[in-house]
Amino acid sequence: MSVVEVEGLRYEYPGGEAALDDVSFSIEEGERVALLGPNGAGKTTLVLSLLGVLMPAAGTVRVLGETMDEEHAFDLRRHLGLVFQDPNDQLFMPTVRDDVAFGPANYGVSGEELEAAVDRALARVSATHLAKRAPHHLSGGERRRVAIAGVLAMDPAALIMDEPSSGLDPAGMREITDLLLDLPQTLVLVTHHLDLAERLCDRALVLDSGRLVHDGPLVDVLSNGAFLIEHRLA
Amino acid sequence: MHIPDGFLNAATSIGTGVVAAGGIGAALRQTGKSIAVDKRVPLAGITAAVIFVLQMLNFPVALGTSGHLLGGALAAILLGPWMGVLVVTVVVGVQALVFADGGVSAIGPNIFNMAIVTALVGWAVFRLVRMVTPPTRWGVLTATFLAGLLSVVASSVAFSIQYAIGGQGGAPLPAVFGAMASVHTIIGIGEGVISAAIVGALLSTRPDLVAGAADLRGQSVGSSRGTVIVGALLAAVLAFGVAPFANPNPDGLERVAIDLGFMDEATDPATATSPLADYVVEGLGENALSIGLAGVVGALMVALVAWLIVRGMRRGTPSR
Amino acid sequence: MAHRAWYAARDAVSVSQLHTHTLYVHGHSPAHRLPSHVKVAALLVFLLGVVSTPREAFWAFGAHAAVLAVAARTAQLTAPFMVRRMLVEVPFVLFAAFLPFLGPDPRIEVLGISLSQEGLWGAWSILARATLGTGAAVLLAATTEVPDILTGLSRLRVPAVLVAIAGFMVRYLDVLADELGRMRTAAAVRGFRQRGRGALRALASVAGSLFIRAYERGERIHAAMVVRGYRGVMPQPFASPAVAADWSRGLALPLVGVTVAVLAVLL
Repeated sequence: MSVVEVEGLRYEYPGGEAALDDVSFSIEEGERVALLGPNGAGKTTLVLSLLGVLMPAAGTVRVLGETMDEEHAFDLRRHLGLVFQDPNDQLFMPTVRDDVAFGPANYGVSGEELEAAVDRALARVSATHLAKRAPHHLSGGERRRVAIAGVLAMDPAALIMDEPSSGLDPAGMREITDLLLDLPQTLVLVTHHLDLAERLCDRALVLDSGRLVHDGPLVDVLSNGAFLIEHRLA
Repeated sequence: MHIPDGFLNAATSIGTGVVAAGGIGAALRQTGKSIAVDKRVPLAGITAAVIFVLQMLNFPVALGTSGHLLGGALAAILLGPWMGVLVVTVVVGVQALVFADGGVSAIGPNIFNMAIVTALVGWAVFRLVRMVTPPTRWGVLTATFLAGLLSVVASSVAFSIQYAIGGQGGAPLPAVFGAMASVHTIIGIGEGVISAAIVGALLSTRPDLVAGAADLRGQSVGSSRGTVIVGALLAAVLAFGVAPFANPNPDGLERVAIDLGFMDEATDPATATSPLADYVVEGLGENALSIGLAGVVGALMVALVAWLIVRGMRRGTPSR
Repeated sequence: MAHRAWYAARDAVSVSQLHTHTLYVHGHSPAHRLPSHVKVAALLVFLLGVVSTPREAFWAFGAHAAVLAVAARTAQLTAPFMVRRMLVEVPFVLFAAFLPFLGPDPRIEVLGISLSQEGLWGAWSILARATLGTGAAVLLAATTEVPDILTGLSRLRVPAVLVAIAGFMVRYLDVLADELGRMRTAAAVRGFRQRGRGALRALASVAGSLFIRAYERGERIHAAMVVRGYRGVMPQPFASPAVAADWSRGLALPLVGVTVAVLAVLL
């Protein structure tokens, strides 16, 4: 079964201009997909539509076979763990432990089960020792790892990473890359960084001006210089 | 403006605290319906953080006190009056408990003066001025400026009344009122200018973030007439409340403020020659009523003059 | 006036970096370990005693000070630390210092200066109480991390909405102070000088952009909450109640203060 299936998706800005136009693709379990495109191509809009934060003007999004609509958005979005570009936007609870617990607690997990989920997620990103700390006292790499733990605690089927390398030094970036290579979840990597995509993914979706201009092996994109320049990827 | 412990007596602190709790309760009821379904809790928290940062912009003031932005009128215009009350309440509460700024036993008066009075009076002024100004960017900015200015003056009047009722130390009331009102008229101008600048910047880039200007985008402002009346009544109560201490002959400090042209009679500290007890009976007479009325008229005149000034400025500036 | 505001704003950035750092001091003292809501309640009880003590009862204020000193010692806080953190009350100390000169008759001669008796009493009363109050508040803030203070408030039945707003506010103070600092640097490297006619306009535009950036961050935070299942109610993941022993330990000292106050009123 596809983890995500998108058909004829269209999203319009309040003025009526299309941010996404007739976008269709599907992502199977265990795939590692790079979502590429220049600034303003519609990547963030697409991601927020997958999670039902934005509702499309036309077309459908299905998550694990179920159609995303107002009614099912709450239940469905827990299967897609979105990690934001700036961890400061995501770590809003007073302590790391509370923040990691935020997701599962919203889905009714409590007591020992909650503690276990939090401990497991923190251990998965090697951040057990940070549990009691306040998010704003963490380094950039630590924040990124804790943010990932916050979605892992919800046990999602897929992980959607928005520009995971931003704000990281080379060592921090290597840590995150290694961690992402190690996780079993389906991965959608939203990025400008072709080298990062190359290390983590084998398939690429390329968006430009709201349209899907490539869906296929990443190597095809990387080896086509004219295509890269045409769509401002290099 | 943050009152420390021991500045007011216990009865005054507690009494004002009860009133403040009532105000917070009303604000919770008014916001309770919508708060759960939209993004106003995080936005309110962010606004509180911004106001906290802006409150650090201190104006050095006479008598060892310092003034700073209060932000209540601004919060009300951006988020609606009752959310504004909650936001500044949180700012004041965190300052007392986390930063030891402002007495914990005086938290009632501090919330009343800095959160409730500023947000509700500011909102009432804002709405009333908008009724008589054109529904344009400049109308909104004029209203914001006056709301900021008068909210600060109202807040200082509230403090003065509390000091007159239960203040420690026998500072002569004329000096307290004079210092408070004249200084806060000046601070109020700063508050008005900065509030208007922020609202102006938002109107240019993100007009959807200014709740008080929703009508410019063809939406309803979504606040009842009742709230405006509550704010206006609060302003009137403060104007009349200060009257018993007032004497029509202003002394030097107030003279300065009046000469500056931004001071109205109601908030005129004027002079009290003896403690409250001697004045209560006399004060309820004709004199108090007339001074209170003069205050209301004065406030309207200030509003008119400021509106004309801003109109003049608009003529001189190319519209954007 | 406008210029002054800008100077203040300029200075405030360095100050803000200080101020958004809370007063908390890391430690493991009994005062640190006490549940936060017990500490908040203890602070309120103690201050109730302080503000109810008649100003003539010098001995009672001495006793209050002793209670505070014992508490500070329990918290392993030093006298220099306490004094430094209490400087926030300085403006009101200055106000109090004026009272003996401004107060009403009768006046008394002290070292050849005529001072108001009532003013002297007022100055003493404000100084004593504000000092005790600030000291007690510093004690709470120094031994309790901000998230714990918020949890404590919510256990004391402070409405959840207020606690949630406070949580967001505290979380983003540092982020905002950093943002303000970056904007100032950006203005400075383009040769902006904080003088002249443009100063107020500059302050206003800084404040305006700060607000917009903050709002946009608020919207992103909201999206981040929604994707993790937020539906308008903040979860309280790990709440644990205080036990009776915590209450008796926490309230012992402040109750001494209240007893002192009651005795001072009666005697």
